[in-house]
Amino acid sequence: MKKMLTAILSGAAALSLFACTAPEKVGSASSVKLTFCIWDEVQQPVFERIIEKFEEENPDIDVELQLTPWSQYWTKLDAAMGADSAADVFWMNTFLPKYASAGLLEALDGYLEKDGIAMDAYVASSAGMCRYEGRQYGMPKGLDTVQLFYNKEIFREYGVEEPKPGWTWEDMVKKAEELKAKSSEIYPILMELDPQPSYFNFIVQSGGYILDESGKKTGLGEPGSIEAYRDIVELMDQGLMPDARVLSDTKGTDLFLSKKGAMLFMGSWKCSLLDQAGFGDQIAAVPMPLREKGNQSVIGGLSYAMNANCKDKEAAWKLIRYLSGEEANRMQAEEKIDIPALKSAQQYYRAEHIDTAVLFEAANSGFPYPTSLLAADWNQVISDYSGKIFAKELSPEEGCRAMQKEVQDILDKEQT
Amino acid sequence: MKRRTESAGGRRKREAIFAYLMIAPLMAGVLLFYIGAFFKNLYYGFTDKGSFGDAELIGIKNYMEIAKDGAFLRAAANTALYALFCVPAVLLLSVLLALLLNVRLKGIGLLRVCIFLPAVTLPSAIGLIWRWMMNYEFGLFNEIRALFSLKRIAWLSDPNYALFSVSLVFIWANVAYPVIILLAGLQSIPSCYREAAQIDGAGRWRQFTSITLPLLSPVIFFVLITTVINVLQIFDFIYLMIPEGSIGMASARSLVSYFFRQSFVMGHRGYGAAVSVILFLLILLVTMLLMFLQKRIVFYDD
Repeated sequence: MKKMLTAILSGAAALSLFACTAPEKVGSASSVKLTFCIWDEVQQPVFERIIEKFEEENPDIDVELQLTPWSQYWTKLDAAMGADSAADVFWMNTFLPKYASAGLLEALDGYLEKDGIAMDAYVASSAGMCRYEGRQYGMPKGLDTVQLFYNKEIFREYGVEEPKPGWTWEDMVKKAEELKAKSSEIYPILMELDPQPSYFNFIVQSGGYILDESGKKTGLGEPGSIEAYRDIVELMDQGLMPDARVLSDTKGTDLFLSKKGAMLFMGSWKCSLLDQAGFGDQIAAVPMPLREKGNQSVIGGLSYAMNANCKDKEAAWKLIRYLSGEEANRMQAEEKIDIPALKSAQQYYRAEHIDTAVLFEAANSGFPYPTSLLAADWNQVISDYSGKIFAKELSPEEGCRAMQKEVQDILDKEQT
Repeated sequence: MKRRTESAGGRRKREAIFAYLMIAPLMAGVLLFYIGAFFKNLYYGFTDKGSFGDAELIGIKNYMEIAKDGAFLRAAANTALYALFCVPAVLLLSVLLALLLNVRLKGIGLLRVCIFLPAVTLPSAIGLIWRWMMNYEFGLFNEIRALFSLKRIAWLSDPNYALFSVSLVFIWANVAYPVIILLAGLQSIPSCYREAAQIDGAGRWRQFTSITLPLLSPVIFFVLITTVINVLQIFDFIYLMIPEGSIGMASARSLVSYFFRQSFVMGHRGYGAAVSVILFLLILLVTMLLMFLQKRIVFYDD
């Protein structure tokens, strides 16, 4: 029935092509075409269904879903922006300030006001991440939190007590030592040595910071930041965690999935991998161990943004409103894609084996992934020096001091 | 008489016009995408072009910064090391394999196919397979080492091994094509020279050094030049086998990898353009040097 309707409608649209000669009239009578670009192939099927639904409700809008793999996403977006051929609506993340400041994103405040949508329906840190200089440039999609996962089977086999919420970093080290004493086959602790699932959390948990509130100063040289790096290196030195050579080669998550590790720090965006593992029922989640200043998680997250050069902004806004609304969020949550940033849709997020309460707790106590105009530059600097610290080319003190200076130089450049 | 030469000249002119017409479609593409892009790149090298938006001319600031850029110098040194490892190895191996394949044997065709296989395999497939074989935890290489109770090696992420491992893959993948060219060169050497030498009592080694090698030297020189240019532009295997953020990256990054990182990861298009211009000059210099040496090391039979 719906198909017939679209056929008739498109037939009518085609007829109107013959009927009138003025091109503006054709535009208003025929359907609007929108392009929507994402990077995750895992999420493609869900988004195809979401778009199908959207098109049913808005028969005059035709959405084309484009998939650009992560490795080429930003390169292609930059090039397409330059050539004015970028998608109308696309996924955005921590690099938002770069695009917003260049005037390439449409500010959404006017649309929000007109439709009476309040941003406090979304998790605050997540909504804040897509704001730049007081204006809303994106609608939050989901939340990425970090927590610890462990293999219950391994703990049982070696008779070590399982981690409990409220545990401390020292408890973790003790458990790891017990495991190490009983088996040389497994790695007690695993993590991916990227900022988000690893050291950005520990820096803040030790009282250090990456950017201060104003976003103009870095605290990478603070004692807390050095402490975080020192603790990671110490885990490697004591053989409680594989060294950086191993972790550069094989992702911590892959080692955990092949039952080579007992405990894993991992982001929620990879939860479905664990849930689908052959031993999924043996995996449990627990909040990260407490360090000196807590166990709060970095929260990353995506948003939907609108191209400022989009031809039909009303239609693009309709799409964004739908994507960030209840129904689209429910469809994603039910597929365990990510925890919705829309609070009212969080109830739909269920994992088969993993206790989602742990994820929600991390979402509520977390802090947003730091960003600024030149985030792409200083992220590289941090990742380079972190690599040198983990490879023991530099001591944590030396590395942090160098990072402090170079990141601050970049931040100062932003001010000019 | 006079009229005939005129008409011949006219015909030549017509033929020339026709010839230019025939190559026009190709030249249009070359002009637009190679020569045009080359000069545009040259221009960008003097600007502060970012990911998008307008670029401002900043003179030679990019080049001044490159001179002080430790990561650039490291990448340049790495590229030199790649050349040092790969060029002699590719030359030596390809000559040896070509000699081996030049014998008349049953089933030599099959052997030739096997040797040539890497040349027709996608670089991405080669990179991914070798990456798996060299994996620390699950790789074939370390499994074999374990059989002899040797310690595992992080082939691709240990800063001491990464460059060597990538070189190994480059050599494996780049030996095949020269072998085919050298084989053709070997087979074009008339057998009468060797027969004459045999009658004069020359042994196999003498035949090789006095006949085969000099007559093959133009082909070897061609292989040398193309291999040098290829290795100075090494990028694909590094990109495929060593993830950005790996602790092995700094010691394996080549100039092209550095250009890619600056231009496309960090969005410094102007700076990246300057890096690529320096790489171009470097390749030009090396090629000119080799061309100069050509007179001394290559034997032309004319």
